[in-house]
Amino acid sequence: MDSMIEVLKMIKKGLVVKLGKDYIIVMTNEGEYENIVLRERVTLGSKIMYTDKDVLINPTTTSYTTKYYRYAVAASIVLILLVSLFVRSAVLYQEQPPMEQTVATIIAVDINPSFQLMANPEDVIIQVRAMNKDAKTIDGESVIGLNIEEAIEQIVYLADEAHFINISDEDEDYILVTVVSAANGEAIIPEDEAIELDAETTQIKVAEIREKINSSAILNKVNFAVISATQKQLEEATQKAIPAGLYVAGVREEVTVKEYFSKEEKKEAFKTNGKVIDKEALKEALKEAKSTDNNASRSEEKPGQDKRQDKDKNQDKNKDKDQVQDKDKDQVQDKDKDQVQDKDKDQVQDKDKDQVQDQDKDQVQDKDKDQVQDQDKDQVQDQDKDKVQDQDKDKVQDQDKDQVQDQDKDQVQDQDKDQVQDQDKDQVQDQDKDQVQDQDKDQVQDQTQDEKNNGKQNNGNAKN
Amino acid sequence: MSKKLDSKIMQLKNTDNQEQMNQLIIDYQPFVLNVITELKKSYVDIDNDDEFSVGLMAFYEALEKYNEARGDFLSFARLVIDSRIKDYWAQQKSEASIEELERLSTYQDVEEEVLLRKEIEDFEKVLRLFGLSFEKLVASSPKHQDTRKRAKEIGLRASEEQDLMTHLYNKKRLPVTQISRRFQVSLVIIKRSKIMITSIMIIAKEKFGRIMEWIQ
Repeated sequence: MDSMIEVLKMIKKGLVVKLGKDYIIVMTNEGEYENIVLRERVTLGSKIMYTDKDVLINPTTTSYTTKYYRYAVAASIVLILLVSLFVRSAVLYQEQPPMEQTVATIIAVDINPSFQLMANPEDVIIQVRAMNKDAKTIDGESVIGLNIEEAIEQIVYLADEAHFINISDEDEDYILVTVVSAANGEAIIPEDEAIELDAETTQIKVAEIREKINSSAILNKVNFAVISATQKQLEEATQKAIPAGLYVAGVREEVTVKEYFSKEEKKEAFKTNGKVIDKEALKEALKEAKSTDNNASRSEEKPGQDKRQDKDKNQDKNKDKDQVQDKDKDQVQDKDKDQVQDKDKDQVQDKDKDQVQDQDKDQVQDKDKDQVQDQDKDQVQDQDKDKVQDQDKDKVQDQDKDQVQDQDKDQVQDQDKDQVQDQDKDQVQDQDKDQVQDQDKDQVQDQTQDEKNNGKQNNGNAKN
Repeated sequence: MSKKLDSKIMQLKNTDNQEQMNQLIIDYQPFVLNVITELKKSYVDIDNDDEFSVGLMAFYEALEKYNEARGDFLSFARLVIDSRIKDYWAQQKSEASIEELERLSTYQDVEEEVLLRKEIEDFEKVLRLFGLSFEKLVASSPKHQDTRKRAKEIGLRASEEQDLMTHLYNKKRLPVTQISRRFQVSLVIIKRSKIMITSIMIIAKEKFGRIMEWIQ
């Protein structure tokens, strides 16, 4: 009768760490802790073999035959479900309020793997659908109970771990996020197309998600494309096995997200309805925000129009890599302090203007920036509150430099750098010293630059 | 279902498929262990698993002797295992004096056991300082094997970072954000495995070498 059930079990090895009144706690050699049935002659510290059959689900209930116990649990769950159908306000619910099960938002995440996440009105994921084969190889269920941005982060993380994408290489990976939202948290009923979806709610949701991408350590390592869709579009796209967001953008034949966004003209076409958030653009915004933030804390003001305009121009273009590198070089090599100061000061003075302009151009970008600023502020505060201004300045430069390095270097080495970002005081100061020395020797800088480039190439080769 | 197993075994016997036969024995190891555990009313000790070997041999014997006339295979196997284990115990009893002396652990073994027990007791005390208990560790153990592995890895790596350890011990709280940033791991994952990561870091910090050896 139980032949197949037995096969599914495994022999586990447990170290007895606690003898309860009617249960034993073991620590498996994988570091998992489990309650198992109490049996004779077991002592603390003995190493024993057991199977899932011995595992207790709930140790507070005395039971020696787990099998029957499990049936009892199963039966009571069925009972509870039946009862709750009729009596919604059952006492049980008071102890643990049930999660709202209405689907208010559907978020299609296409990386390949493709998932559809169903969120309730509180933006908590209550259901996950793996939309293709690749998605099924990932533990997508693990995002249930998370909120939307956490879930996206988790999926990106898992996709990276399963090598569908590589968040630490130079390659252009795109995460396509398509949002479908019902009006004012009303239910989306997939069978019923009569429900009018609220375009505005969807738009707000899209903006929220865009914002949150910036604040995540993982999500800002990949390119994002965010777009909203109607439910009808989502369904049609699903039927045709086309990523929903691309379907909205007019794609009708099968194409992967990566392929689509590798073409510059397609990317532009997508922007008419959606928003592309490049990791380069993000980093620039972050860098920008940092220096602006630093200046905001000081009160010196001097004009320097030209530079600012150059900078703005750069920023507005979501620049391609070469430009970024050029600028990086400038920043590294132009170590002349006055110049840097000028630049900083310019930003202070033009901050108001910037904001107005940004508003005109792109509200969302502005929002992103603000958020990045906040984040940065936190970081700076974390690092050190009492430092003198000069040091502050150095530090921000230092951070900028880190970023530059992040971009230039292969990010396998990133961990060390990130530690620098988490830096405690001493590290920062040491680095600053180094930096000053480096500044004295432009040539050394050049060499370093070359080395970096070489390193990048090598890494690239290694990957190939 | 069992009928299927019965006929499968007959087929394997008839075609003399050794490979699949071996696989079958491996698949049914938990079954053998369960039979012994129930008979013994106690768990089989890892360091003293002669009973398990006897049980596996009995299972093999059952496979050899089985034919459809004997009815359900698993019931038959259970009978054979029961009987062989009891034989083994009887034999043990008669040789008790010699066997026992041999088994009576050396001084070193006893010392090891005492030290391990001490580590476990100390571990529980330190856990309490952090507002944790073994019960809580049971409740929060990640179910997914990969998640567990990852949590263990993060815990071990974080143990090597002095500042993270200091933060954990001073504030009695895991520095989740810092760990997330430093190791480039999703915040969600760390939050979910918070307790497990904390426990691994405690084991490392307190130098519970015997427990550490067990989980590595």
